[in-house]
Formats: sequence, structure tokens, C-alpha cells
Amino acid sequence: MDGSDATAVAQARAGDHEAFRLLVERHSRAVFRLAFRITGNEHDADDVVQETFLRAYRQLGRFEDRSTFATWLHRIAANCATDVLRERQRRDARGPQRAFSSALGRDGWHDDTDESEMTEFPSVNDPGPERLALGSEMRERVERAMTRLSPLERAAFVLRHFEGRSIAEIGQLLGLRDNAVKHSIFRAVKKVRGALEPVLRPTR
Amino acid sequence: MNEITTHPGEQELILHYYGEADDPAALEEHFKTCAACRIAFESLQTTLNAIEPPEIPRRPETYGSDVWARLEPALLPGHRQTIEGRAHRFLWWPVATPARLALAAACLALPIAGFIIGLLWRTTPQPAATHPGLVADIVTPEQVRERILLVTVGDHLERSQMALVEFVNVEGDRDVDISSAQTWVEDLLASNRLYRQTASEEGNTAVADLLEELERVLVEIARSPSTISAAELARLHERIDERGILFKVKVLGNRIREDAQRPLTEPTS
Repeated sequence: MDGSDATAVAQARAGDHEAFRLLVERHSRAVFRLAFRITGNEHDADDVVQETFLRAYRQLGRFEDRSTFATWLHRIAANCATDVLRERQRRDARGPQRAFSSALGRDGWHDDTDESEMTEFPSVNDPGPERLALGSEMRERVERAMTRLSPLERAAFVLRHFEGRSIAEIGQLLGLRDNAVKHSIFRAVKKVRGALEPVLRPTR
Repeated sequence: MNEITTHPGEQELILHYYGEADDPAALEEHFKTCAACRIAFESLQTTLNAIEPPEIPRRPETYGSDVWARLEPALLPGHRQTIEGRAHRFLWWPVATPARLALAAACLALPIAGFIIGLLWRTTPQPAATHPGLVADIVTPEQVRERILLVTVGDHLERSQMALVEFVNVEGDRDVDISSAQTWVEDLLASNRLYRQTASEEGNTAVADLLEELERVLVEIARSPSTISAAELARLHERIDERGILFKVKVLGNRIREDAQRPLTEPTS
């Protein structure tokens, strides 16, 4: 068997498990990376990796050679990851009103801090040790802002901003038209800017 | 390069930042003569440059092989295992012996009993705590009831996940007998309805919605003829696949089980 994905896919379709194993081993890390970027949660990302390959195996017959195997696989992973985000958002939308509900709301991205309770941040122009804390505070603010994005806004934004994928690629991964991707990114940037600009504004 | 006659809006600036503007050279030229637009773009740049990607958690060198090791059992034809290791000890599908069914019935009875205890707890007045520092002082009956509900729903989702994984792994070239699966599914349906109603009453829409979706799948399996053709079985599998129900059950079930293992409250000193 040669090393190309196309050959491995053809062999896997013919029932060769070893060929599918090769694809799993070759692409797992990249799928994990994508899943983590979108979900922001390590355990969710591991689940997404597993589910992605399971779906890929079951849908292997539907794979068409119009795109590469990696693109097709990443598209499945992006769908799985946005499913996780939707599930998380539905859960978080209930608020922490009951123990049963709030017990389900803990994860790395859960936001239970009211904006008004946030601490005052030193301006980027401030000298001294406060600047050292700014990086981690910024990250927390970014994380909190990210929880306020819709699943598609978040997915589009992280794929563009963190992964450097083009709008056309993102459209392919998320199954959206270019304009829909652009608008998701615009809305995401607007929300994230709104959360960060008070911190970044220089003191007068 | 075209000359820009109007000031670019925020959306054009965002596209320019990401290198996706239609005419980047025209924008750069415009910034040379328009301080307001240049400042607006610099402000956007400052904010977006400050957003650094979170570090990707490291995965071992063997990650690909590890993923395959968990995945392979679910792919092998005739190998009735699930991706989840814990499901390995509960391989009921191929041989639903009376002993296994009895064990299954006992397992089903447990969460229902827990559920009933939960309901009773809700309506039974609790005596006031008299020993400061004891759990009774810091854990309310409400919390205990919620915890019982968490545990029972977590168990229910785990059993549903196992049943569905087994069901989607059933294969057949001709007619397939799914009657033993239907017996299980009917049991799951009864408890599913109870938990869905309770979750709904509790205002837990995420759980209630998932249980509702699960119920539709379970009903579909339960109402199918006990012997179906391979094509019908494939269509059922496809519908389960398209809904992503297994994945949703797994994600929510994992979370609920994790949450159910956390201490109810920190002990007081």
C-alpha cells in the first residue's frame, strides 16, 4: 500500500481495516487540533476525534474525490464540534437557577461571571507588574467573550483567527456560503472587540 | 487598484485585517490620506493582535494508535463492542440469555427506584439538623434529590448509549430479528418518559430536549416490525446517524456522570 490518502481510502472502502487504521493514525492529531480550537475543551475535543472517525467510517461510501480526504474529515469534525457547542449553549442558556442545572454547567468555557463584576484592568500603557497579569486576564476575557458567540460564530472566528483558514475554506468546512461565513466572523469580531476594548484602551 | 470614494466600514476593515479585502492596495492608499480610517484600522489591529490562540493540549506520540485502539472494536463486523471501554462488560446483543435479561432488569429497576426515592424526598419534610458540622447541616434535601436525579439520568443515558451502539452495529444480509433489541428499547422508553417529564418540570431544557430526541429514536425502533429487512435496518441506522443522537447522548451522559461524582458541598470546619 502506498502512503497516499486516496489509496488508503480506496482500500478502506473495500473493507481493509488496516488502511482505515492508517488514516486514523495519520489524521488524529490534526482532527484533535481542529476540534480543540472549536470546542475549547480538551475532553470534548477527544470525544469529537472519536466520533469524527466513527462517522467517517460509516460514511466512507459517500466520500467523493472532489475534495481531499483531510478536508472531508475536517468537515465532519467541524460538524461534530459545533454539535458539542450547540449542546453546551442549550445547557448554559438555562442559567444557574437550580443545582441540577448548574451541576451540568461546569466546564472550561462556562461563563458565570457578570460583566459588571469584572475587575478593572490596567491599560496596556501601564508600566509595572500589573502588565504581567494582563496576558492571563486578557485570555480570561477572550474566553468569556467566546462563550457569548453562537456556535457558528465561534467556529468561523477560531478557524479564521487562530487557524488562519480562508473564508472559502471555512465555508467548505462548515457547509456555509462565503457571505454567511463573513457575517459570522463580523459578528464574532464585534462581540470580542466589545469585551476587550475597555482593557486595551490607553489611559488618558 | 481602484480609488476608494467612501470610507470603509468595520466589515471591510475586518476583511482587510484577515487579508480578504477585495482591493487591499486601495485601502492602504486610502489610509494615507484619511486619518480617521487609519486610526479605526489600527484600533482593530490592536484588539485582534491581542487575541492569542489558546495553547493546544499536548497529545502523546501514540495518540493516533490510541484513537484507533478505542475505535477499532466498534468497526469490526461481528465484534459487538462499543467505543467506550466500560461497555465491553455488557455485551448483551448477541446472546440475550435469561440470566443476562434478569441482570438487565435489575439494572433497570435501580434507577427507577432512585427516581422514586427522589420524588419521595421532594415531598417528605426533613427534620432539622441538630449536629453542627455534619453533612445534614450542609447538604439540603433538595441537593440530594438533584443528585439522585443526576445519577439516574446519567445511568439511563449510559444504558441508552450502549443499546444504541449495539443496535447500530447489528448487521444482516437478509431479514434481521430485532425483537430482543425492542424489548430493551421498550424498557428504556418507559424510564425515558419519566426522566424527560422530570427534567422538563425542573426547567432543564437541555436534558429534556435530548431525552425527547432520544425518545423519538427509541419509539421508531420499538414500533418497527420484529423482523426487518437489511435495507430497513440500514435506513434506521442512517436516521440514527443523521440525528447524531449517539454522540449527543454520549457527550451529555459523560458530563452528567462527571458532575454526579463531584462532592455535593465542601465540608465545614
